[in-house]
Amino acid sequence: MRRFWAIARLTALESLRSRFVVVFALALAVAIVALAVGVQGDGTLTGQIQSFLDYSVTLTQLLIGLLTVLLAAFVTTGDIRSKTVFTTVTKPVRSLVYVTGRWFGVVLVTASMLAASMGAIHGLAHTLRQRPTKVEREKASRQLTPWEGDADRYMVDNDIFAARIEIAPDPIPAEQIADQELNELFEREGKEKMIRQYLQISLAQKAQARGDPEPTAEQIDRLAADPEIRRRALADIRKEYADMVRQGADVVGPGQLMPVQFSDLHPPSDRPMQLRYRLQAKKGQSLPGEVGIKGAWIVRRPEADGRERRGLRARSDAPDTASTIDLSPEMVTDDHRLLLAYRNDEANAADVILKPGEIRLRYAVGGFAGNVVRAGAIILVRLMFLAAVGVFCGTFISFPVACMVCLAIFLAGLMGDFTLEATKLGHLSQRDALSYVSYGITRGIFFVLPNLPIVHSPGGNLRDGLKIRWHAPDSDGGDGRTAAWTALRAAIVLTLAALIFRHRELARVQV
Amino acid sequence: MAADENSVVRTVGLTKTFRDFWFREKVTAVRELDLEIASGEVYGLLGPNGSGKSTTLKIVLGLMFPTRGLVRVFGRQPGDVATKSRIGFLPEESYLYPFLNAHETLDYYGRLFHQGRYERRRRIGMLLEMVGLSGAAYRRVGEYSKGMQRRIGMAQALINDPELLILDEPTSGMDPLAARQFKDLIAELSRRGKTIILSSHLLADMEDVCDRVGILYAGQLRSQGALGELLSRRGMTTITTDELDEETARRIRDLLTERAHKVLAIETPKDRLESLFLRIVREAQTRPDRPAGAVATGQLAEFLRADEPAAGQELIDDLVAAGAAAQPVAAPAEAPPPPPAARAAGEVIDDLLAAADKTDEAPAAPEAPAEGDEAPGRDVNRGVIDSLIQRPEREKTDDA
Repeated sequence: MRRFWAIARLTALESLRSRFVVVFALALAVAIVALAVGVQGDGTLTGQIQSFLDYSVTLTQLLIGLLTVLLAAFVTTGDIRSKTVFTTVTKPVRSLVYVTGRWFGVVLVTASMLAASMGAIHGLAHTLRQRPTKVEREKASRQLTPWEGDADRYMVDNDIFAARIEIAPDPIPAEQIADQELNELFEREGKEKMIRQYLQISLAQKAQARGDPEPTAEQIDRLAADPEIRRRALADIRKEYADMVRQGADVVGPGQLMPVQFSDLHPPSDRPMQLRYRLQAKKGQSLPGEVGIKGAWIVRRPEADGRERRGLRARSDAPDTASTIDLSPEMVTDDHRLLLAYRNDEANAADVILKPGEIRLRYAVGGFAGNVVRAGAIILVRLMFLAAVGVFCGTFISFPVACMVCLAIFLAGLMGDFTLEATKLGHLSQRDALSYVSYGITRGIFFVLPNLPIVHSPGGNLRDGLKIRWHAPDSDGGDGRTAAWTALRAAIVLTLAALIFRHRELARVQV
Repeated sequence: MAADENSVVRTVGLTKTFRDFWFREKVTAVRELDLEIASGEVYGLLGPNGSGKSTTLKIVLGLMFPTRGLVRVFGRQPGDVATKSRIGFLPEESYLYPFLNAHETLDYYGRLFHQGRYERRRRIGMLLEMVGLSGAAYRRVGEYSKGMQRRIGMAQALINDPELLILDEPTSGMDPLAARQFKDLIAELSRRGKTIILSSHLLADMEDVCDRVGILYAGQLRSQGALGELLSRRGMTTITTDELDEETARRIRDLLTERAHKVLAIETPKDRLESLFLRIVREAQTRPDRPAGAVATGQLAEFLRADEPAAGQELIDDLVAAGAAAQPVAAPAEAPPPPPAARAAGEVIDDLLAAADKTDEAPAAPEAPAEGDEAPGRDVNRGVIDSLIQRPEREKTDDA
C-alpha cells in the first residue's frame, strides 16, 4: 500500500506543480463566479438560481472531465517518454500498483478540484438565495401589501433548496380490468356468440385480403368447435381488449373520473407534496374559450372506521403545459398510498388526455447540501472512469493519440443519451439496413463505454430540486446504467492497463 | 548449479534484436552474450558507443526483453519484484522527476522500498550528506546541473542498500572530483561485498575500480577477464625510485645494457592531470567560499556500512589515535604494494598505518611523494579514509 500511495502522491504532486492544472483551476473558478454574477434565467430568482446550477455543474463536469482526460493521458505517457519510469519500475513495484497509483493520483487532483468547485457552487447558490425576489422588493418599496403571496420565494425554498424524489403512479392493471369487463360481457352477450363473432370478423378480413369469398356459417361452426381454435380466439380477444383498455385509460371524457394511485409513499409530515401533470385536449376537439381545461383533483383517504376524508381541488390548467399542485402529506393512507382521481369538467365538452407518463408526485427526502454532495459523487465516478481510460491509453500509445482517443470517448459519453435516442428502433422509425447497423454499433459502444449523459447531468437534478440517485435516469430502452457499473468498467480498464504495462518493453527502441 | 548459486547475474546466449515499425529485424544490439557475474564482484562492461552495454543492462533490469537467450538475476527472471528489491540502478542519464526536490526524490524511492518514515529520514539525511547535496536538498532536481543530478541519481540507487548495484555510465557529466568520489564510493561498496556492474566507455574509470571487465563490440563479448591479467604487460619492468642524478641514471643504463636488457626510458614521472585537479580543488575547499551546488564529502552513508564493524566508531577512534601518532606522514620506506584495481579500505588503512609506524623507525624521506606517484589503489580510498580520521592537515600533507 505504501508503494501505491507513493506513486499516487507523486502523480498528485506532478499535477499540482504543473501550470496546466493551475490554468484549468483558475479558468473554472472565473467561469463559475461569472455565471453566478451574469446568469439571469427567466428574470425570477428561481430562474436565476436554476440556470446557475444547471450551467455551473455542467461546465464543471466538462472542464474537469477535459482536465482528467489530459492529465491521465499525460502522467503515464510523460513518464515513459522522459524515461523517468525506468527508475520507478526498476524498484519493487508491480504493474498494477504503478497503474492504479497513477490513476489514483489523477483522481485525487480532479476530486480536489471537483470538491472545491461543488463547494463554490453550493456557496454561490446560497448567496443568490439571499437576494430579494421581485415581490420582496415591491413589498419593501410598499408597492405590495405585506401579506401578498410570493410564489418565487416559495419555489426557491421548496423546488430548488430541497432534494425531492419523483414517483410515478401505479401502472393501470389493464389485463385485470379487461378480464373483469370481458367476463361481464360474456355473461351479458354469451361467450359462444362472442367467439363466433370474433372468428367471423377475422376470417372475413383474411378472405378480403386474399380476395377469397367470405366464410360461410358452416365453416365458422366447424372452427368454433375446435378446442385449440377456441382457446386461441379467446386469448386474442383478451389481448385486444386489454390494449383497448390501456389506450383508453389516459382519456377522460367530460364529467368522467380518472383514478390515479401512488404507492409506497413516505413523505415528511411538515412539507407539502407536489403533484405535477400535463393535460391535453383530444385531437380534433376544441375547448371552450381561453380559460384552459377546467377540472378538479379529488383526493380520497379511507379511514379505519370506514369513513373517508376527501379533498377537492378545482383547477383550470393550460393545455400542454406542466401544472403543479401542492398536496398535504396527511392524505397519504396508513398503507402509504395516495388515492387520487381527476375529474374532467362537463363544461369542457371535450375529452382530456392525461398520460400516466406525465403524472408525477414529488416530495422532499433530503436537503440541498446532500444533493450537491451526491452530484459531486456522480461526476467523480465518471471522472474516475475517464482517468482510467487516460491511464490505459497512456500505457501503450503516445500522448497525442491517447488524448484523441480519450476525448473521443469523453464526447461520445456526453452525447450518449442523444446517440442512443437517435438510433433507437421505434415503432415509427424507418427500419432499413443502416438503421440496424447504427443501432448495433451504438449499443455495442455503450455496452463497453459508460453513458456520461450531459442531458441528464446532475446539474439538471439540482436545478429541479430532485434527489440524485446512483441510478442514472434511464432513457427509453435504456439499460439501467449505474454509477457502480461505471466504476466496474473503470476497474476492468485499469486491469487491462496493468496487463499491457507489464508486458510492455519500456526501453524499447524502434529502428 | 554451483555457479548458479554464486552468480548474481547470468546470461546464456543473450541476443537482442531491434525491429522497425513493420517488425523487420534491423539491428542486433546484443549477440549470443554469455555472462556470469559472481557475488561481490565489480564487473565492468566496456565498449564504444552502440556496442550493446546499455541494452544488456536494460535486459538485466527487465526494461527490455531478450529476443533470445536466458537471463537470470539472483536466479530469477529480471522483472521479478522480489529481485528488484535487491537492486540499485543508476541509468545512463539521471531520469529523475524534475518537479521534486532532492529530499522528495529520495523519499519517493524510499517509499517504493516500503521503508518506514524514520528509516527513510535517516537514510535520506545520510545519502544527501554522502553525495554532498545537503545544502541543495530542497531545490528542485530540474534545476540541478548534470553532475548534481548524477549525485542524486546515485543516492536513489543506494536508498535500499542494494546487493546488486547497476551503474550505467556513472561518471558521465561529473567533474573529476565527483568522479573520484564516485570511484571511492564504488570501492567502498565493493569492500562491503556488494556486487557492482558498471558500464562505461571511460577506460580510466573502469581501470580504477573493476575486478573484472568484459569488452563488448558490436553486441559481442570480445574479451573478458580479471583486470590485473588483462592489463599486465609481460616482458617489461618498471622501477620507481626517488629522483636520480645523471651519474646514477647512466650507471643503471650501463648495467642493464651490460646484461642485455633494452632500456626504453628513464625519465622523471609526470603528475596525472586528475591528481593535479584534485589537489587544487581540495586546497580551494579549505577556504571559506563554498560553491552553491554539490560539495565533496567523501563520506559513506552509515547505513550502507552498518553491518561492517571494521568501519564502525571503534575503528575511527583507533585510526584517529594511530594517525595522530604517525604525523608527519612520510613516504614508505619500501616500494608500494602492487596496485589492485579496487583496494579494500581496510587494507589501504592498514598500509597507511604501517607506513606511519615505519616513520618512527626509518629516516624521513626528503619530501612526501607526489600523489601521481602513488598506486591507484591509494587514491581510490583517500577521501573515505580522510573523512574517517577527520584530519584535514594530513590531507594537506599528503597532497602537498
